[in-house]
Amino acid sequence: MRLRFQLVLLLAVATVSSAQVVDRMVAVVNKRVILESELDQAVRLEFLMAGKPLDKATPADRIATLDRLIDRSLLDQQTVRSEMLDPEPQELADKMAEIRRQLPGAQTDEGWQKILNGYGLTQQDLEENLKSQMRILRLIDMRFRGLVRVDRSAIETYYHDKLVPQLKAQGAAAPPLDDVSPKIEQILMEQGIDDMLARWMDTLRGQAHIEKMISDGGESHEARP
Amino acid sequence: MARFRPPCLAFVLWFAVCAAQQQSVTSARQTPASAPVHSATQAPQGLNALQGLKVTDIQIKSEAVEHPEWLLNSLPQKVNDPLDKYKVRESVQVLYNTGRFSEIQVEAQHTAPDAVALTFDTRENYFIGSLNSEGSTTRPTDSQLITSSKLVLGELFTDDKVKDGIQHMQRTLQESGYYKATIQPFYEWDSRNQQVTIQFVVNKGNAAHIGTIKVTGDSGLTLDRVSEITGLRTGNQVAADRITRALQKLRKHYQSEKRLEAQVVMTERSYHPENNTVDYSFDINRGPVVDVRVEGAKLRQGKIKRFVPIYEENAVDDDLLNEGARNIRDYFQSQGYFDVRVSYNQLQPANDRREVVYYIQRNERHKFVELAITGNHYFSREEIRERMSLQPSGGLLLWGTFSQFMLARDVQAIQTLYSNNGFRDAKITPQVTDNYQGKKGSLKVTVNIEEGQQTTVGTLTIEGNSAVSNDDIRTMISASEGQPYSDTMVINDQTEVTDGYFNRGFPQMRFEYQTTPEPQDPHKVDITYKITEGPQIYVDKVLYSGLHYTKGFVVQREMKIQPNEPLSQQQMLDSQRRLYDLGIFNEVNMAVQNPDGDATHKNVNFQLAEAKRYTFNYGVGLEVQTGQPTGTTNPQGKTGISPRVSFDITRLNFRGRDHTVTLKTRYGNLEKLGLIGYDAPRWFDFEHLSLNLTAFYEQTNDVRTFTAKRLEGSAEIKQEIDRATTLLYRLIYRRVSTSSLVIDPNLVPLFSQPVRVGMPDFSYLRDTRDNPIESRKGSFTSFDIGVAAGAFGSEPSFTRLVAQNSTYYQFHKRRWVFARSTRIGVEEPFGSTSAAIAAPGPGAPPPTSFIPLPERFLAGGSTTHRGFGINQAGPRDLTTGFPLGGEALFINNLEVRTPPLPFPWVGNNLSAVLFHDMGNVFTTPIEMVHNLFRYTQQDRSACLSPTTTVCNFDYVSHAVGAGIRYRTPVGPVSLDVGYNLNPPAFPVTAPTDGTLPRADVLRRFNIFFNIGQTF
Repeated sequence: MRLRFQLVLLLAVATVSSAQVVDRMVAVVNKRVILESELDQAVRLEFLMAGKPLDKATPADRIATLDRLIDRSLLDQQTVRSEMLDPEPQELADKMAEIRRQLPGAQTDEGWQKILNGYGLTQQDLEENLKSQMRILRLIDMRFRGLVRVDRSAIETYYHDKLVPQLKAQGAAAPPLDDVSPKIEQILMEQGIDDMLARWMDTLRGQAHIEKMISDGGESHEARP
Repeated sequence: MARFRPPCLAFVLWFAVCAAQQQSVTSARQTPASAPVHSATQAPQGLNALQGLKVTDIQIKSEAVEHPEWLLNSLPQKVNDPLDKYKVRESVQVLYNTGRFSEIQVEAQHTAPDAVALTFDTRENYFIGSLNSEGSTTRPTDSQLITSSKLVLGELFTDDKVKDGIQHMQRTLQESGYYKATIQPFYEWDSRNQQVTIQFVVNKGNAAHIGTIKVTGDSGLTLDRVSEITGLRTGNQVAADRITRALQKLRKHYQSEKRLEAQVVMTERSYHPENNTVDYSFDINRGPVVDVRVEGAKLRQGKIKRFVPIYEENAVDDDLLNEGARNIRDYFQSQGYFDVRVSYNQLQPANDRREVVYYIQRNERHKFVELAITGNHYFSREEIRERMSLQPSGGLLLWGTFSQFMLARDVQAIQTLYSNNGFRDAKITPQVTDNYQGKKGSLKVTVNIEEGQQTTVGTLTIEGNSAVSNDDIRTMISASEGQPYSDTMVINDQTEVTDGYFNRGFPQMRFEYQTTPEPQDPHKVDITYKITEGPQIYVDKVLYSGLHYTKGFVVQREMKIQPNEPLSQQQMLDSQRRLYDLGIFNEVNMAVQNPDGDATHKNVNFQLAEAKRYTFNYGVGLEVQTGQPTGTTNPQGKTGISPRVSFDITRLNFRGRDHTVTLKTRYGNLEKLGLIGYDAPRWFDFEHLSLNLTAFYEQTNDVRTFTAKRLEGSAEIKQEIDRATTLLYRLIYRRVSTSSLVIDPNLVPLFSQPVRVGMPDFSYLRDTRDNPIESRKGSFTSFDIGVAAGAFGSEPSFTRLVAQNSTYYQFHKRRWVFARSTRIGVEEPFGSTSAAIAAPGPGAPPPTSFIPLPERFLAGGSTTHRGFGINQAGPRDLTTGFPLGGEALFINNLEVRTPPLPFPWVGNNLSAVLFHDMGNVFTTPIEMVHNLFRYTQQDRSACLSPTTTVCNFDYVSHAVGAGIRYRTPVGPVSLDVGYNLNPPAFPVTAPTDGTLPRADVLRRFNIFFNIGQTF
């Protein structure tokens, strides 16, 4: 008993007295710092949303998540007046509810909290993440939506060259063109936006100063003290 | 508005922005595909695990942070607040944004089970603190190499920047032929100040030589001829400017052949490391011979070359030919051919020839006789004329100056004048009337001005300012209620306010303005100046480098910019100027360290390059004027030239201060001088006090009577009371002896024995002139009093007082200047002389008090009285006729200085003066007072008798004359001719050349050549 008490005391003293590194920089995108705690939180959020167990996360997953955080940071830096892009509280609540509806066991507050605790996350973490995500979506929408044009001939080409052969191959009857035109138009518009976004991201990456601080095992040759 | 709701993009952004772009995004889903696995609970780690704990302390770990409070205050995470990971992240971002750190990590230490102390552990950035190079004393010099590196003082140090810098330097070295040069950087780290000194050690190696030269294209020249013209030969050392010069020479060669379109370019430069040579290839196309001629009027070839820019540009195109036509038109218009028509045509008489012919139709010659300006009320005619270049005929302008181009320019200038003063609706209409008053060819130009109503400022509102008060801002700006309004004024206000804020440490300050006409009165404009101040930046430390000999305090005391003060661009510039003014630095480069960072306190960096401490000056000069020495035979001297050589050594930075030691030597007919001086500005750290010690030996021969040998030592303290007023306190010791006397030997004991003069002296100077070299307004007053007495170690005892007052007035549109100057000097012996002087020889009568010859007043010459040759005024020795000087002096000068004369070729540089000089040197002060209004020499007939023993020189001599002034960067070069209205007569009872006794009259005409105005 005495020994156990001494061990507890020792542990308590050690906990109180030793300073631990709790966060560090893992990347800098232009002048925006990405910290390890952000990366850790992003990995947890991704695994939550993907429904994957957190203990399956590998170093490669962390690197991939970091790359996505870098891209998100690049897009974030393009938002000049972010208040214009901020979602309304109701919009955010709807989004949150939608996510909870699709997560088994998240319908009750208790279950939802249990899921969040299981991933080491809080409601605020998820909300902040959703806000950022929705801001970027709006930015992309505002930037590219007016630029993409889908004309009738493109819809017809998609219908005849892709949809009809695909349905025929599945043995299904092709619906009339006019019935599916709006859906095809939306698909083509999304494709157009994807292409533009891809090109924009290439440009942003090319112009940015991106410094990753996660060690790749290489030697440093800096002339610094 | 229908909102785009692309689930695909959510996927793209959330899961794999880059990777997913390759995939078909339309089928992706944002929401989880399956139930989350939360059986294995993963507790948050690191910072995420500390959420909500009480923060008991926050520290910043960095050797360079001396004032952590400057940083801590700006952090969103505060002490005693619960830890908020989002705020901690923001805090890291804030610290990173300061630019001072390259890496930051957060450390936490539990101070209690529910409390934590945070430490931001940093790795500092380094900034370029000093850039030096050694090893390249010849071109390109070390300094040029540093410039070519494009590295900037104060900016963030990175390896890549240094690598790029070395590449740039190597390119510069290669241009000079140093292809084998190596550059090694060495670093000296200063972690406290976060700066690094970079020292480049350059080893230039052997310079490359020219290998082969190849010429392609149609040069019309053999390779040998190209080599001859360019001076480029195989084996020559490669040099940066050699190729540039070679190309210039080739172009010049083709220009001399009138091949104005010749194309000469270097197409290739290839280096061969095996033999350290560089091969050059040139592509030359000589183009056709271009002749330019003029039909319809005569125009000299020189003028054609001046007016048609194809000669300058080495190209022939319509733009240049049109410009030539305009220039020719303007020229003829300026000659009175105001209706001239100029056109051109290009001909090709042969394949290799091209001809440009300008056809000039001069038409009738006009005379611009009158310029009328009507309708002007707000501005006077003179104010408008000042802005016009049109000149009616008159004086030397036979035809006047007029062209349509000049008229249009003048109209625009008047329009701008009115617009800038609130007359936004002003209309300026020129009208040209030919055959004015029935005279054929006479031209009158009338400028009709409709001023319209003046727009004034209604209300002025200043918003957004908190650090600078409204009153302070109003002192910076021109706009105020009721004042004339103009857009230019608002723009100027913007500049002034922005500068004012910049100088108070607000580099991100923004200034916007809004102007709104008042609805009830559109000629009143309400102005709103909106200021967004942004953060205020302060000085952390003032750092300086580059001192080898100079003491640090010398630099520190010149710094107007100080730690903890707002970062002011103006104070930085003032500091730089003051450092340059010390005269001991060749270069003073300055920069704000970490210019891109958001830090509220920044270091200011000065990199200094000390000037060479020893400078050697040598020169040859000429003095041209009347009264030059002629030996002992001509008491008046002669008009002639006195050559002079000089050699000076200056030692700057004496004892590591801005003190200077100077050795000056002169050797000439008039003067032989050896001088050592010591100059200590800021004596005892008093900014307005300076000490000057001087010792010299001088042998002067500018007085015809004797050669004076002067050994003098003086100490002078100069006190600058204000910008205009200066006090001088001097103590002078000198020993003067005379030799080569040409005066009556009987006077030797009295005047010419070696004497030691010890004299404390005080001067008061007040100078309010606009320009001391060429004054146009203001005044200059000096008052100097000295007492030579035995108490100060002086052998003779006398007092000396000299006062001068000069004033300058502008008149007639402030273009003419009337200048006047009065000088009065009196000397009064007192007490008795020393024993050495009192016993000049056996049997000699004991003299009472007297003033030795070199201490007496002398006058005459370009800076005193232009009716006399140099030092020819005043009493003379009746035996030999040579001047003796006197104990009193009165000189009065009046001068009218004209505005620049409109002579061709000289621009605005030539002007003229008319002058009247009066005065003389008198025997004694009493004689001066009694004879101040005497115009003629007393008993002049006696003076004209060769055998007389009495001749009085106490009268006022008058001279009139004229001169010209040619303005140069070192002051006006003057040529004056003076005519003495009443020159003195004097006997020469025993001429030194052995001729018969005679009587002389001083010459009436005297000429003077000088640099600077007379006074």
